[in-house]
Amino acid sequence: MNKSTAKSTDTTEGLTASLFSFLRNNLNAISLLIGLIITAAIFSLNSDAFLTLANILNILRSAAFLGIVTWGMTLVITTGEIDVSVGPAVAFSAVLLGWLATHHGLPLFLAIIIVIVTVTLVGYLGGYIRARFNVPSFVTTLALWSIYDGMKQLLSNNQPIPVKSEAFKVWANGSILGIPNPILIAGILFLIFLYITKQTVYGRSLYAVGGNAKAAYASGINVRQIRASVFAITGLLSAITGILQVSRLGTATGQIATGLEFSSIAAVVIGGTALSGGRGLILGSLLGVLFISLIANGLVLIGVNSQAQNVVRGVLILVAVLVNVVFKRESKVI
Amino acid sequence: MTGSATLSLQNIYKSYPGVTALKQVDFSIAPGEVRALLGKNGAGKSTLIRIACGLEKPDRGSVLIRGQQVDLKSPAEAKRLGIEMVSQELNLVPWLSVAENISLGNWPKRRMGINYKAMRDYAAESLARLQVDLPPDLPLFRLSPAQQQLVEIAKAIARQPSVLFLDEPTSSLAATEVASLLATVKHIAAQGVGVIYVSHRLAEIAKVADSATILRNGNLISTAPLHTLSEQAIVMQMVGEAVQNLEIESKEVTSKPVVLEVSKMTVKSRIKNVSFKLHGGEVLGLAGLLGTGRSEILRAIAGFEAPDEGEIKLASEGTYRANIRHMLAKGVALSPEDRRVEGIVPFLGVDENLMVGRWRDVTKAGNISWRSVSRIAKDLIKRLAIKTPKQDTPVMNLSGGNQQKVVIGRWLDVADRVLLLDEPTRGVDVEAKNQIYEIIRSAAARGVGVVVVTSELEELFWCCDSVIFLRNGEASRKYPISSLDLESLNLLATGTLQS
Repeated sequence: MNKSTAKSTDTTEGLTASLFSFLRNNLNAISLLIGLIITAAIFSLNSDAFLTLANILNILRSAAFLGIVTWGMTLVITTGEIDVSVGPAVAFSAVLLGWLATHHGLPLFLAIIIVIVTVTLVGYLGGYIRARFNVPSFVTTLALWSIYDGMKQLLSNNQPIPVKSEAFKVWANGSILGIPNPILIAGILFLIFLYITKQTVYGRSLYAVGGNAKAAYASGINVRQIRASVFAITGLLSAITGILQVSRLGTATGQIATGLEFSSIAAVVIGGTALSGGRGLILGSLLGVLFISLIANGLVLIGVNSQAQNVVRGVLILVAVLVNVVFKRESKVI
Repeated sequence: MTGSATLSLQNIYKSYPGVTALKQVDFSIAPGEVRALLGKNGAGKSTLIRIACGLEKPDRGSVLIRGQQVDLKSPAEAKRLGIEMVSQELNLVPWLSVAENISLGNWPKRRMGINYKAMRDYAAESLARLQVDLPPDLPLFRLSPAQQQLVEIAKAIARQPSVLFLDEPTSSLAATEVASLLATVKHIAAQGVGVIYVSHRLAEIAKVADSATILRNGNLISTAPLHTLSEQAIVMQMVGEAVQNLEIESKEVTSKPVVLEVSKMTVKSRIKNVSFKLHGGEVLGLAGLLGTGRSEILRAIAGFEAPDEGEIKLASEGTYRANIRHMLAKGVALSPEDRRVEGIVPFLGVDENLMVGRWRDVTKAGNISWRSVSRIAKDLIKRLAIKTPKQDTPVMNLSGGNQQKVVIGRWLDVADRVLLLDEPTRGVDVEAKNQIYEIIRSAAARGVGVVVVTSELEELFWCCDSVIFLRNGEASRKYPISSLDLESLNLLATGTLQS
C-alpha cells in the first residue's frame, strides 16, 4: 500500500523502516540471542574457564545431544502434539544396542539397524494410536515413557553393558576439521529439518494440521498419517541419540538422558513454538537448545551445587518463556 | 435527544496503529428502541461496541449513561452500569447446564457451596422474560445452535441491562429460528431495554429495527428511522457508491453435458432419495433450513463420507469414491460451511491458505517453489479482490469476508468439474457478497458445475440457475430460477406450496 511512498522518500528512512520491520518480525530470535549473549557474559565474568575453546566445544557437544531430539520435538509440537517419552526412548535405545551387540553377539551394524527400526516403529505405533483413536498424545507418550523405562531396566538389569568397538567409538568421539562429530551430525540434521519445514509439502502440512486440523482434513491432507509420522520422527531421532551416546561412552547404560524430554520441550517453547500448535520455529529451537546447554554448563563452572542447579535452571527457563510470551502479546496488539 | 438516551457516545475518536477506526462518531439509544448498527466489515461497528462495553477506551470523546458521564475501565464496569453484549461467538460452557451457564461467573452461593435452587430460579426468570421454554437442567451441548444463542441472550438479560448489544445473533441460525429470535428481540425492547442489533442481513433489519445507524470507514454516515430508508439507500450509504445488483441472465444450461449425477442418495438418515443432475456451467442452489441434510449432501459428494444408499456418478472417466483426496483429484471440491472450523488455517499466510490442497502444482521433486506459490497467490488475490496487506499476512488478520474469499479461492482452480459451496456468504458484508456471486458466476462460465447451499432465499436469485428445496427429509424436483419469484420461493421453501 505505502510501497510507492516509501520508495520516494529518502533511502535512509526506507532502510530504517525495513530494519524496523525485520526486527519486529524476528523479535523472538533477537531477544533470545541477546539473552544468550548476556547469560554468556555473566558466566564468563564469573569463570575463567567458561570462554575457552574447549568449553565452547563442550557446550556445543551437549547442545548436539539435546538438539537432535529437539528438532523432531519441534515438528511434534508444531503439529499440536507432545512427546514426553524421548528421554527413556534414548536410554532404551542405548541399552537395546548393548543388549543385542554384547549379550547376544549380533554384529554391531545389524544391532544398530534393529535399534533404529524398533524405536522408530514404536514411535509410529504410539502416534498411530493417538491418530486412530484420538487419544491425547500426552497420554500415549506417557505410557511409552513408562514402557521404555521398564524395558531398559529389564534388558540391562540396571548394569552398564560395555560395547567394545574402536571403529564405533569414533562416531561420537572423532572430529572433522576440529569439529566434534556429534556437533556435525546435529548440524546436518538441523539443516535437513529446516529444509523439511520450509520447503516440503510434508513440512507445511504439519503447520496446517497444527493450526486447524479440520481445515487440513477438508483440504485433503492425510491428518492421521501426519500425526503418526511426527512420533516416528522423534522415535528415529531418539534412537540416533541413544546410539551416539553408546559410542561416546563405550558402554550402554540406562542412566543417560534423564529429563531429556523436559529440556527438549523447554528448548522448543523458549524458541517461540506455540504449545497449542500451528506455529513452529526450528531456528528458535536451535537458540533454545543453545540457551539450555549454556546454562547447564555455566552453572557447573561457576560452582553452583548440583541440587541448586535444577532450581536455577527451572527459574531461568520460566523467565525465558515469560519474556517470550510478553513479546508475543505486544506484537499481537500491533 | 441526549436527555432521554440510556446510552450516549459523543464525538468518539479511536485509532489503532495505521488505522482510524472511528472519527467523530455520535451514537445514542433510547429505552425500548431497537437500533440497527450497519456497515461493511471494518466500518467501525466492532470498535464502537467495544468502547460502549468497556473493552476499549476511546482516544477522545465521552460516554454518557443516563446523562452521566462515565469512564468505562473494564467490561465488568460496563455490565454494572447495565450494558450487556452478546457476541458472535458463544461464550458458554458446553458441559454445564443451561442454568449454570446463565449465571456463569456469578453463581448464587449459600453457606456450603452453590445455591442450586436460587440458580435455577434465576435462570427460569430470565428465560421467562424471553418467553422461551428451555429446561434449565439440560446440559448446554444437548441444545441446537439456535437454542444456545437464546441461552447466551438469557445470560445477558438476566442481569437486567438497560442496553443490549447483539452482534450478528442470527449468523448461524436457519430461517425459522431467525423468526423466533427476532420476536425475542422485540419482546426484550418492549420491556424498556435499548437494543443495538448488528447484522449483515438487511431483510432481518427491516423486520426488527426501529432506526438505523450507518457507519462507513469509521465515519458516521447517518442515523435515521428505518421507514425513511429503502434497502437500496442503506446499501448505498454502507458501500459509498451506487451498487448495481448483478442481474443474472439465467442461461439455458440443460444443453451442456452433465458433470455430476446423484441418484436416490440417502445420507445419515437426514435426507432420503435425493436425485439430480448437474450440468457443466450450471449453478444449482440447495435451499433448506439448518439440519435438513443440505451440508450432508455436499459432504457426501465431496467424499467426506459415503452416502448410506444411492449412487454418485461423475461424468466421463471420473469414478466416485468416499475419499476427499480422490475427489479433489477428480476436480470436485467443497468450501465448508464454517470457515473458522473447517476453512482457514489461522496462523498461515493468505498465500499458503490458498495453496493447501494443491501443493502438487508448485512442487518439483518434493521441493516447494515459493516463487510459483507467490505467482499463483498473486493471481488469486487479484481475481478474488482479496484485501490483504501482504501475500503472506496470516489469514486470521483478515476480515471475515476476505477470509471467506480465501477459502473459496483455494478451490477455484482445483475444482474444474464440480465446485460445492456451503453457505459461501455467511457473515460477509454486502460488497464481498456481490464479489462472491461474481466469483461463482465466473466459475460457471468456465464450465464448472456449482452447487450452492444457502439459508438466505433472496441469494438464490443473485447467483443460481436452478433450485432444489429440502424439507422434511426430502428433496424437491429441480426448479429453474426463472420460473420463480420471491413469493413462490418462500412458499416452496417452507413447504406451503407443493410441487
